[in-house]
Amino acid sequence: MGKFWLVFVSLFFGTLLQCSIFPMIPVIQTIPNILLGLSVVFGLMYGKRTGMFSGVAAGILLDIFSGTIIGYNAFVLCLIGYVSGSFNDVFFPENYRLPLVALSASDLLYGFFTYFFFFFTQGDYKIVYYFFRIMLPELVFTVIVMVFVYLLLLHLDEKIQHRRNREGNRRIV
Amino acid sequence: MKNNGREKKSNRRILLAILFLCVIALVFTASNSSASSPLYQAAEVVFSPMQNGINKIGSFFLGINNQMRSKQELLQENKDLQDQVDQLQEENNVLVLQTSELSDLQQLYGLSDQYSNYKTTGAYVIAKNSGNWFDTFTINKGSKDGIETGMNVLAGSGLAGIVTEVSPHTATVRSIIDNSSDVSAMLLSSGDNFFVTGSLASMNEDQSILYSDLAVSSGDASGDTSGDVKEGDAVVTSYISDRYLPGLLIGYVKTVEKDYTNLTYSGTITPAVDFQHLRTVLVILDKKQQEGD
Repeated sequence: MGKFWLVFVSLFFGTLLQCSIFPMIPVIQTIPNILLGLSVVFGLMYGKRTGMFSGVAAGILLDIFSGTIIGYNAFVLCLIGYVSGSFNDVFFPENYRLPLVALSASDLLYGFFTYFFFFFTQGDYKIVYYFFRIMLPELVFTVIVMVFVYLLLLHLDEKIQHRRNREGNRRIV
Repeated sequence: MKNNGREKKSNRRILLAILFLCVIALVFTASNSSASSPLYQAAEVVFSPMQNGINKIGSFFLGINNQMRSKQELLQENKDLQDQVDQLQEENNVLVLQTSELSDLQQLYGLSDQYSNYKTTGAYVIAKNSGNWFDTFTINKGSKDGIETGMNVLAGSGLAGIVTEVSPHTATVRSIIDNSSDVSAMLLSSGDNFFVTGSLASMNEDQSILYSDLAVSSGDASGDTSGDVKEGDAVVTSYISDRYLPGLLIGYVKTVEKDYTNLTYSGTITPAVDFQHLRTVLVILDKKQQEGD
């Protein structure tokens, strides 16, 4: 049950951070894609199923706040959560390289998807421009913010595991 | 091992089911925007109290920031503003005269409704779009406050966008600088109609949006284009737009380029609204009369 609440609460605060708090800070030009980062991290930590469900939830939240069509972000983030969930077998908390690579790759993937569906199909072919001005800053910023979020989530997850172990022991005794 | 394999299979099935549902939702909401409103309402219940709070905290910090400006700056600003007030007062006197003359003439022509004051309501911006690719924002008023989709949104003196989604207490606005935004515009000086489109790229480059299809005046065969568009010309929404009320200021022409056909101009416009620091907006409660209404 702890896992569910962890996902739920982090998605809630992730949405607030991404849609309300970061846009309010005047100096910041690029907004980190925290909800995408969360679905990647949950996929890595808990496996395919949690990855894709948190991806869908995060995606629907993104869709609602971008206010155009529902389903696009849910689709992409569900896929991303599922794929990062398949790396759950080789994931262990001390390995920082895997989450970093997974985050960067999925943010790039997300960027290319968005470019393709909303810009390329409209006859806008300036992909190099979008890569350097939109995708790359977003990637860097997302990874920087997610490092902190990731450490926090690991810590919380450890606590949940710890408590569950203790309860389990008590039951056995 | 066997159990593991079964779980793998069921995972894949769930994934496919979700993706399929997403595609259905996509198609459904793309063709019919009101279909998604229950979702918006649910999100509003969960998020808007927090967002309103964050907005208040943000305003509080902005207030502190303002208080810390130096006295020298304020004195200088005060002096500048006083000059501006004098100048505006003078202009205002002239304008009041002209307005009364105009209303007389309009009455004569039976045009009095055209320019009548629109009913408006103020609102706070409580959330921005969810990423870097789109330019939409959420305001803290919704259908309970009389907001409907298709209403025009102003900020300061200029056009900011149009309401695309409404829930009871919040509404989503697509701004005119969004890449998919398209406004039918008119050059105030000549009355020529053309198109203004939002652009992510040019907004990033130099805070401007694009225009196109502005006709080169054909009246003069000698190539005299002095009557044509110039840098600094005001651009407003046109009468023939089916979504925007006429005469709302969009911005000022920044660059002018003749297209290779030599028949039309295109270039960039600096929006009248400062989209970087959008905090309060004004929603016009009157909607453009639609065909069939």
